[in-house]
Amino acid sequence: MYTSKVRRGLLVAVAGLMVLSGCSGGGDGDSAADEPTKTTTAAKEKTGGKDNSIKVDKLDPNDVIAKQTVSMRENPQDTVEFGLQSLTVEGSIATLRLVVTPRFKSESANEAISLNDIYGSGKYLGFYLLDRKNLKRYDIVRNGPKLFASDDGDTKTVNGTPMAAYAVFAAPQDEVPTIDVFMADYWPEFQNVPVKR
Amino acid sequence: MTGAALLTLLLAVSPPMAASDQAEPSTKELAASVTVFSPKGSVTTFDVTRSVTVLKTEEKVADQTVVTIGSDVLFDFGSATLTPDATAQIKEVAGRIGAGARPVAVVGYTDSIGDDAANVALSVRRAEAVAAVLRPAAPTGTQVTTEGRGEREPVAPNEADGKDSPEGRARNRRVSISFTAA
Repeated sequence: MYTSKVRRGLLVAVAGLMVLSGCSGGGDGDSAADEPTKTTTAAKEKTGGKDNSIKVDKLDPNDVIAKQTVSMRENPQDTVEFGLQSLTVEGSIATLRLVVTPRFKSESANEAISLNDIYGSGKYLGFYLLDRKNLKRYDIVRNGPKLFASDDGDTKTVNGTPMAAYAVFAAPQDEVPTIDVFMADYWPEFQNVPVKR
Repeated sequence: MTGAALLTLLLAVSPPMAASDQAEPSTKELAASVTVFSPKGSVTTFDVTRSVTVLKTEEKVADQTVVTIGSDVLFDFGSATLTPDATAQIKEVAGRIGAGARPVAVVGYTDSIGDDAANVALSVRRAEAVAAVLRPAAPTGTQVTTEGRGEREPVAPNEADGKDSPEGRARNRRVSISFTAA
């Protein structure tokens, strides 16, 4: 049982929390539905003309600038759709964002497929950028065995379901407006991918 | 969360006694309740400059100039068909060859992926493809020899940290052109 002293304390605490959270205290509707308006307004403040609002990365396999479906070398009936969201320069780095959808006929529909399953055990992710005009190749930035990219083992999804993946490269030099993006040596590249700066 | 729901939750999780009714925790209990975290070791620093490979290099070996061009810019993967950019690169080299000089040597190399014999054959075809563009663009009478060394004489490890190294393999896929400059 609660003592009257504790009850009073709790009521005061609840009242305080209600004020802080903006709860009306009446009805059973989720007041959070009203909150995004405030949050969005606050988050849309801009600094120096740049939109610094908080964003959530979208995971829509159709909301991409280019996509291609490739066959796995070992099992050609197993395919992977790579959707290219963006290649964006931020300071000294460029981040490649992808939507990856494995469709493995050799696996059951509810099987988990990881990037490692796509690239093979003992292999690194095969993403790289190639600037054929200036004769430069950009590999994923790394520190020893640690790649600055999605973890190939932990980044997994249910067969047939899209998953987000990213890889970080050195920002392309020579002010190139576009660059070729490879998923692996042996798959066709995305050519003339815009470099967003 | 509504106010009513919040009150119910707080009543449910609160202890049935006032804080003043509880025994003071011992020093040992207090010490055991504190976990100290160190940020040391949780930050990985990446050096972006090492991730960029220049696919055309040049060096002087005695009186010879050796231009090495990465196969990634010359050919598609596993192919000996020159890309449009490759032709321009090779013609640029041809324009620097001295007239009446020693034979020009074109040598092809591959990475370690695939069968050794197939790699040698691919490197020969690639050297010949480069030579085919070089010959008509070089000074009249220039001799051009070709050779394929497959995956021999790598310039970078094909594997790193026990894993396949795509960037190392990319450096190994190459064609070198040795010539006496004009």
